[in-house]
Amino acid sequence: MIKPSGVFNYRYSQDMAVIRTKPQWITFALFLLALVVFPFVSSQYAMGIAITMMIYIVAAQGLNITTGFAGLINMANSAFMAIGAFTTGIMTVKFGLSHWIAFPFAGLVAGLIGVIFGVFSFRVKGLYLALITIGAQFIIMYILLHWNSMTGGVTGLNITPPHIGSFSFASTISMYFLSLIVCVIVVYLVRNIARSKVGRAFIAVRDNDVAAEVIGVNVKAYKTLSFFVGCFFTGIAGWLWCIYVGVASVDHYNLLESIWFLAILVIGGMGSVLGVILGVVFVEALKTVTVLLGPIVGDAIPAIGETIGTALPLLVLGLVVILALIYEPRGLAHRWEIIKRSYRLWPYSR
Amino acid sequence: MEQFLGYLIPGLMLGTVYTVIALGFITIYRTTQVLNMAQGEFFLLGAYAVFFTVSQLGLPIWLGLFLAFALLALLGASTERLALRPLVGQPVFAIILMTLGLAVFLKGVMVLIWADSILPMPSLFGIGGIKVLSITVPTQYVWFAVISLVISITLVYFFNRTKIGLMMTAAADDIQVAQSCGVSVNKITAAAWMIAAVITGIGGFLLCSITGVYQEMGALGLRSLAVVLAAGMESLGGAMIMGPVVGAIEMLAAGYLDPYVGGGIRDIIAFVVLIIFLLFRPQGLFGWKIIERV
Repeated sequence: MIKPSGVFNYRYSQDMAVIRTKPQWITFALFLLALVVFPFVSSQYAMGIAITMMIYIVAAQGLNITTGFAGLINMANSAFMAIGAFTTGIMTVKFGLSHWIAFPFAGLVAGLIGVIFGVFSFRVKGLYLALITIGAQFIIMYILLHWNSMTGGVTGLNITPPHIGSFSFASTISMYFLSLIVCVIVVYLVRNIARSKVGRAFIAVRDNDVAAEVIGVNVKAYKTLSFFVGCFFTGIAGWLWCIYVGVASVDHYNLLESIWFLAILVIGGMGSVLGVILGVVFVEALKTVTVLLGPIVGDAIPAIGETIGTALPLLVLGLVVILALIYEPRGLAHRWEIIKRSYRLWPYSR
Repeated sequence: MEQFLGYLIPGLMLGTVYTVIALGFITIYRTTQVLNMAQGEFFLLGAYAVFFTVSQLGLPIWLGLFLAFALLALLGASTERLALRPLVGQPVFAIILMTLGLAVFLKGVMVLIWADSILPMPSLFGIGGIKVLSITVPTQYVWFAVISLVISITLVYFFNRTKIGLMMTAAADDIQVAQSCGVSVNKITAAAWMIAAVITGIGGFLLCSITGVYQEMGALGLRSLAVVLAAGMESLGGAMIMGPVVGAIEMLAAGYLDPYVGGGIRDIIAFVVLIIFLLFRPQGLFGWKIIERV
């Protein structure tokens, strides 16, 4: 890791600091300030995109723990998000509990169901775990769709906005701040889990599980834990998402959505907290452009005008994944590191 | 009993479609250690390619079939060359995601060109019924099962008796030893992808000539993973046995369980089979080697 010129670490705390110098603190504070000011100067539409990005950052950070740090491929991430959403729906609609009580449970239920698959990962790994989680995606969504008495089947459950006292989170701007707070806390937690004992154990299990076991890492415990923590955060994202869109329904959480999550990880950079944020911003921006571009292309080429709306997102996702894997397999985070390094070494960098 | 056979026999017959798709999976996996998640899309493209050449271009059916499968072979080879070869040596996650990306991309192409409706296919077999063990089955099913079995047996013969097939088996066993014996791995890999694409495409064409072709048929690709796993990842013969078995399990489950769970169990029962096999016998029933456990 290259520090800015003239900066040296004299104490352990300096070595551990994520944000090291004064200019970095100022930039960081300005960035947070910009996030707070943003909803007051932007349109509803831009705010909606920002909320979606923040919720997806939460979910993708969950996947990042399981797949990026611990190396256990989870292809059912959107199904775990659905579990969080439906837990919220069932607790608030069927049992009449408060959204704030449902908040930890959305994470816990998703996490505990994730633990089941963590246990599967004791027996098989790599490709085979990927196949199990594909199966999990279909089976979980099947159960959620057909358990009519609880989940409302095809129509799903309508969720009212949460409220504190008389203040209701119905407006977009309040939803923005709710997502912002959750997102910042989750990013903070994941960034610190990643560099703690637990995070190092995850990385050891990912890189070489036999060696990890030899040096005293309890591989089974950490695999289970990585599934629990990862699915916990994804479940929390499900809580946010179902409150934001106002409904918990099975439409949104399909295999394609899970593939989008994996694409975010690859585009951003596996096992990098910053990478996931970059990946989500890139992918959501791309989705928005695709949605806007669809009708324009359709008008320009009438022969494909009817189908382009459905086809374009698929084409773009497929192409982006393929190109990212071939040309940028280490993700945007790696590219960012290169840029940062060459900036700090200037004028001696290439 | 009558009812049981009524589910079992069509299940066994339509299950041969899983054999065909699974053979495609296995052909690629044996030679390159890549599990091609885009098999379902190859399957569907086989049907659409025939629809394109025969119904849209109006070619005579045999020429149309030839052209369609030549296109599919080209697709298989170019997939390998453009998408998978740059990834040699990358971790398994990258390869899985690459084939998934391909699947999504091909699905996009198909939605773009042929939209989301059921298209009628040129029919090969007459309509009628045939009596099997006191159950009347549509003749088409019988033809379908027979052709699938013929394809499977040809493929097993190809792998065990012809030179290229033996080269593939050698590459599957140990790629370095095979190379030192003069097997060109690049050519073998391309050949494996072409064969897999064509076989899967033929399966797609055959099944869709009975049902008509529509986008949801692509889901069969992932479902036949259950057959691949149950057979063992390398066993061609195993796939021939397990395909009809999984097909029968699906039909029986749909027949007996659907009234209790509210329908649609057919779509996921294959995944239940897959998970059970992965948990209790991950090397499958006929696989070559013991899978590494942790």
